[in-house]
Amino acid sequence: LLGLLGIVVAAAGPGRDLALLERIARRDGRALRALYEVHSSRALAVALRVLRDRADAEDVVQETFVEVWKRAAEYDPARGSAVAWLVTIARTRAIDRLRARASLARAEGAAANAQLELPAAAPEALEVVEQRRARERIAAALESLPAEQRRAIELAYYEGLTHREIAARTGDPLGTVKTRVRLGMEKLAALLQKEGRP
Amino acid sequence: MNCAEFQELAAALALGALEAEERAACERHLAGEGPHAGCEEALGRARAVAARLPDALPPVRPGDQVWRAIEARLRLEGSETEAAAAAVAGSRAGAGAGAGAPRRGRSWWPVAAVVGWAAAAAAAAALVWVWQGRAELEDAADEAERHLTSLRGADTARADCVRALDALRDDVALHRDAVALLAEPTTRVVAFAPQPGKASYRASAIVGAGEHGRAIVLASAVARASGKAYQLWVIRGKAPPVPAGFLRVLDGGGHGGGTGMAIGEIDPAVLGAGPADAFAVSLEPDGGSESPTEVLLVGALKG
Repeated sequence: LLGLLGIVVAAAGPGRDLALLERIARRDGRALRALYEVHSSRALAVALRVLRDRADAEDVVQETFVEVWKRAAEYDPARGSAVAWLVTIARTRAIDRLRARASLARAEGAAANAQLELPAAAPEALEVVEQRRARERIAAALESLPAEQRRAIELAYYEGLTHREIAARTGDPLGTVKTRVRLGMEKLAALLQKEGRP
Repeated sequence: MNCAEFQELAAALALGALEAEERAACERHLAGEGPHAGCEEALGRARAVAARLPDALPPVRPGDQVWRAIEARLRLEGSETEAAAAAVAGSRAGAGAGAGAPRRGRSWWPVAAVVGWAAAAAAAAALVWVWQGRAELEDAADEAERHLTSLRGADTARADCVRALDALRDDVALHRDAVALLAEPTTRVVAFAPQPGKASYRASAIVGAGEHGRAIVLASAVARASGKAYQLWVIRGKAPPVPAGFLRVLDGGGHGGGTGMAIGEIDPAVLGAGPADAFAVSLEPDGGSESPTEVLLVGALKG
């Protein structure tokens, strides 16, 4: 019986995600639901960080998983993890929506509420532990950057701003913004490398 | 653009911070014939860093209406309406969206008409399969419960299966408790340090706050060792370690070798006896020992 159990259990993490995407590509709705259970919280966290509006962010999560359903067959594991692919879809959709917004002020006003969200429960405790450790590591690495470097990176990643748009937003010279983005990313890479990842 | 110029822009390219013409120039450079002096590697490093940025955000669980909206969208969209509707309808039944909801679409429960060993094994297998996700967990637990009811009081072989299934159910319950504990903002996660020569072992303790807090230990890459048990210990100062329960090895640690996950709770009575300095995991003869024999991992709670 125990041997059978060992055979049946699917691997957690990347192997599990890849298997789920393969099943989704074969139109297995149960696999989509399983992927949603595992990763919708991360997709919402990113969308919420970009949009700072719960309703808009949940719409983005909805769009993201519909897109995953349609495009699962296009996923190429050689280009990155399944969760990175999914998060990229959510981030891109959120940034598109942000750009389409008539008023940015609404997002700024909702920022405080976004910070009050409780962490979600994910289905794999061990995976949650790993995610929590990863969160602590990247948060500490970001925290260790000079504030203006961190701000430049966040404006680029979460708001989809170009160097020029960041310079316009912050009032800094274009060359300074370029240097901040480059130095900040290099420092993050060095900090994360020291821990063995990425 | 030369390689040095490309690498100056690699971080911005990975972040999406380049203007359209700069991005096009970078793409042309990368697609051009080499030799390149580390351009792809620089972009790969930058992309790896960018991919980790969302890790800094605490996850936020969507409201229930989000999944319902996804289901509705998939029913309405595209030429694959029927297939999508059937598949997602099946997933909804599997998610236990409503107690006793009729199962629709393709059934993943393969043994409804099979009795005895096969039924018990499949029920247990299904119960373990749920580690993939809470949605399937809910469904499998219902199924397993029904099988348990039908199997109780049967012959010895069946009784063995029932015991195994009972143990699995306990493990699933503990696993869910661990997830709930993790959702508490005051909960700490303590990483265990492998002892010399035991580098392949990994474990963490999820430690709740307060005097009534629980501590659940999760370990990965644990092999099921015949005649051996993974024992938990509580360490206080220089006093001898106190036995505090066992890890139960789950998936992949079967008779055929391999490694899997293990879970166990620090005995609440031991935990509640006073502030602990550390937890430990050791390998002991079946049934456990009064003092640790082969210490594998130690997780310091202080400092």
